[in-house]
Amino acid sequence: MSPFLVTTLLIIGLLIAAGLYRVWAGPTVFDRLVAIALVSVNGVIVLVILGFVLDRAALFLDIALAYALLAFLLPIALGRYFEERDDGMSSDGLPSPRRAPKPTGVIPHGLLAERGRRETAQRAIEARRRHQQASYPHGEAAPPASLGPTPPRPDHDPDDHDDTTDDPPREGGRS
Amino acid sequence: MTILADIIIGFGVFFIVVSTIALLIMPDLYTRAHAVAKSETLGLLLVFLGLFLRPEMDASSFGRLTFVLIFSLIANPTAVHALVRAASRSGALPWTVVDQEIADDELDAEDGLIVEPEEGSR
Repeated sequence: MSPFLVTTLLIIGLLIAAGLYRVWAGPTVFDRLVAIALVSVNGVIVLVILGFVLDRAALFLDIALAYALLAFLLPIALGRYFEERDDGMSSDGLPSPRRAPKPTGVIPHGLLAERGRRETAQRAIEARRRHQQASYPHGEAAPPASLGPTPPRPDHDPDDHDDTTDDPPREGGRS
Repeated sequence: MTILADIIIGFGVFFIVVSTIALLIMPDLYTRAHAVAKSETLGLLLVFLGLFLRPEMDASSFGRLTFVLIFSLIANPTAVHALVRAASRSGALPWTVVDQEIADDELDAEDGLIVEPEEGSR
């Protein structure tokens, strides 16, 4: 029963409470799960130190081991589940639809973020178009600028005017 | 020996505190997961190494603590990695410079530096 270990125990208990704030507030479900992972590791540390404080180290270490095993399985299983589930809540960093947005005088953050991402995509398309105009300087028909993968530059044979660079549309991120 | 153990445990608690603060104030999922996966694991390692040097340590708890330590060192980054991979596959977007500019604009709007149009006039 050393006062240092008791102090450590109290500090990590406060950190568990702070991590539970992220579980409560985190905008997407994956934020909550990452916070749960941190709370679980803090819980393992609390159990181990509690065993040393109470002088029942072997018993508490067994409990901590079982808890660590369960806490290892939980984020993996729930991450797989929410990866497959497509309800929009976990996709965009937007707030959970169950909670109404805060009434402020400005445009809500989600719409602003969406607009900003659209502008970023537009800038990327224009940069790609400039790059292609630099790559096809002789008036050849450049393939349409898009966000897809960069089409391979045709060979430098001037007789080979093969403009049918019909790339298939890019598949979604996952198969 | 106890002083050394307390110093090592103190460093471990420092890293755990840093990890939890980062979990609270970081802007998006990937930075939070970075803090949880690395800093938290280092803090756990240091706390357990300090506990190995405590005088309460005996032979029966030595093997158990070693096993919990090794398992947690492997399991915690693996779990966070699986979570972040699932989030990335389901389309979570990282915090970018554009988001930073939008946040700065919102802060300026709160300070009255930018007059945003009213709700509904869009």
